[in-house]
Amino acid sequence: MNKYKKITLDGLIFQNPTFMLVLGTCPTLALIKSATSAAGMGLTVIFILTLSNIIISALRKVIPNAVRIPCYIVVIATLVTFARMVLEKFLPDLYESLGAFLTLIVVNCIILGRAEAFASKHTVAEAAVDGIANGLGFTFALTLMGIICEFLGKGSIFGLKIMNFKIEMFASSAGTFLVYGLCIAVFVYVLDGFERARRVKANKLARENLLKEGA
Amino acid sequence: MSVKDFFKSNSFKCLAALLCVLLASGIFLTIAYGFLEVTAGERLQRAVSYIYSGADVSVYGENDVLITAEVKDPKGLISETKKTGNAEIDQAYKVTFDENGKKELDYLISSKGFGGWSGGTVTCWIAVTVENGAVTGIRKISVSSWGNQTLSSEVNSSSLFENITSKYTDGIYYEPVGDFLVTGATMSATAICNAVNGAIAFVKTDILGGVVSNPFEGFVFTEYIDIANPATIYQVDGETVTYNIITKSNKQAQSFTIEITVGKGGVISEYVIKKYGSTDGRLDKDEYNALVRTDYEGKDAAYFKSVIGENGDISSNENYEAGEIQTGATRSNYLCLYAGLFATANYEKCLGGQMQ
Repeated sequence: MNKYKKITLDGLIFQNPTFMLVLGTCPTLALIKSATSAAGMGLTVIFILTLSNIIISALRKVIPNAVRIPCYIVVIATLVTFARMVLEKFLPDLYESLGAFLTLIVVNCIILGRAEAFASKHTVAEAAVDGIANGLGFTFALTLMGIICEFLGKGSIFGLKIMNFKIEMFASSAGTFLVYGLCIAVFVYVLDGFERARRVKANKLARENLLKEGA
Repeated sequence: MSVKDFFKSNSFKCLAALLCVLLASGIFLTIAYGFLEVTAGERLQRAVSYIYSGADVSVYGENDVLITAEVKDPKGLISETKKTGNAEIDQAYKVTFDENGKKELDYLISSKGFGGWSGGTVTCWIAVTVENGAVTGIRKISVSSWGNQTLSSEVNSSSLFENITSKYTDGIYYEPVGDFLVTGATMSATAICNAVNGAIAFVKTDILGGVVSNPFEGFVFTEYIDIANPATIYQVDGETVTYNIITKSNKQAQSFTIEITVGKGGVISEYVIKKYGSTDGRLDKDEYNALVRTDYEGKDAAYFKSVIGENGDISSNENYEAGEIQTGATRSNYLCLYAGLFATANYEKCLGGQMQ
């Protein structure tokens, strides 16, 4: 399999940071009450994750091993501060809705995790693809759960009223926790189903090949 | 290690790499800030366009602010209470515009409310409407900065701002209880209410020139009572004095709001906790109210003095141990006892003069 395709699929599905690795749980649980906040947070993370992966990958041979983590933190903090400035200037509503969680991206384990586990060991192009893929995986997960929670908890999607019926629990922290857990369960169940089907298909092919060789 | 060895060592390389990254980041952010800074003028413009949504408004004092001052305390009791206050006003503008053919006048106030989550603040632009020299309401509120409040989305999705603007009455003091409690972010809502209260007090006193007086002049046992809080009031009806008392916090115990009615002879006839400040969690408000009724109703200042004692240490006081309230939440109990002492000890003083 093409390595870029593998990196992309890993980030999006097989190593999805939210559903498979359960990383970045703090902003996830806090922001999925609203689809707009969730999508906004996801897009901000794509920007920061991609740029931090590119910069860290580019500097990987320059930064001594002993100070790599402080250097990663400085790079990530710089990008987060820059993202804050951009959002405050051009998207003040989104800036307000993200609140303190925007600043807390500095300590988001997805970003530091990808910097340490991937960007510091791969080329700039691979790191960039990894950043985009993981960011998209995170955004997809947050937006999906944001839509579910907002629809059930407020009867709206992205602020647009769909129905008057609402279950207020889903607009609370308990509801987001429940939705998060159920989404993880469904995601893992579906992936397991695909994996089982793939194994069955592979075994069937192997058996047919053996029979052919025997005949 | 010689100087030459140091420059060849790994330590130097680490230091140089870290300093280079820091320097590059610093330079980048400095340049970015130059382009992306949100100026005070922009913040004002955002607030104006949000609050007046397209109306043709005239803002006086845009370049030279109308008033810059601090409201440390709406009642001006700083010297007595040493209170740092619940709101701080840093900008005020006079705004005029035509609405339905009528000339409207607002004061647009930038007010920083204290008491948010983790000691944080929320800064709001508050449009205070004025007619015939009196405050008539709050037109709209625009949050300028959430500080580090993490649950701003809870406040935004609640009806807090609508409640504040729709329920204004003269003399109201906003606090996140009852209808205002439904935000899911009580601490942030407290900071917003404080900002609004500060803005109203500022317009009434500093702009419109209202008289600021201290209604608790000469009162005793005020150490744990938030007498600077406009919600701390008393009303006299014949020989009955009804207090609404906001206590200060007492270490772990948060502020209580207590309504106490004191009758003839300075004896408490009704004691009701309206806002429960205990963080202990062993009893809820209703259970606690049942206990204080048993212990405090029918009691006078002498009783409260005997329980609190001379040194204020109630935990080793036998009079305290003789009472029903043995919750383990001693600091909360102390605040409730102190409120009882304040109400009963100042009963005669209240009868001597009605609160303005």
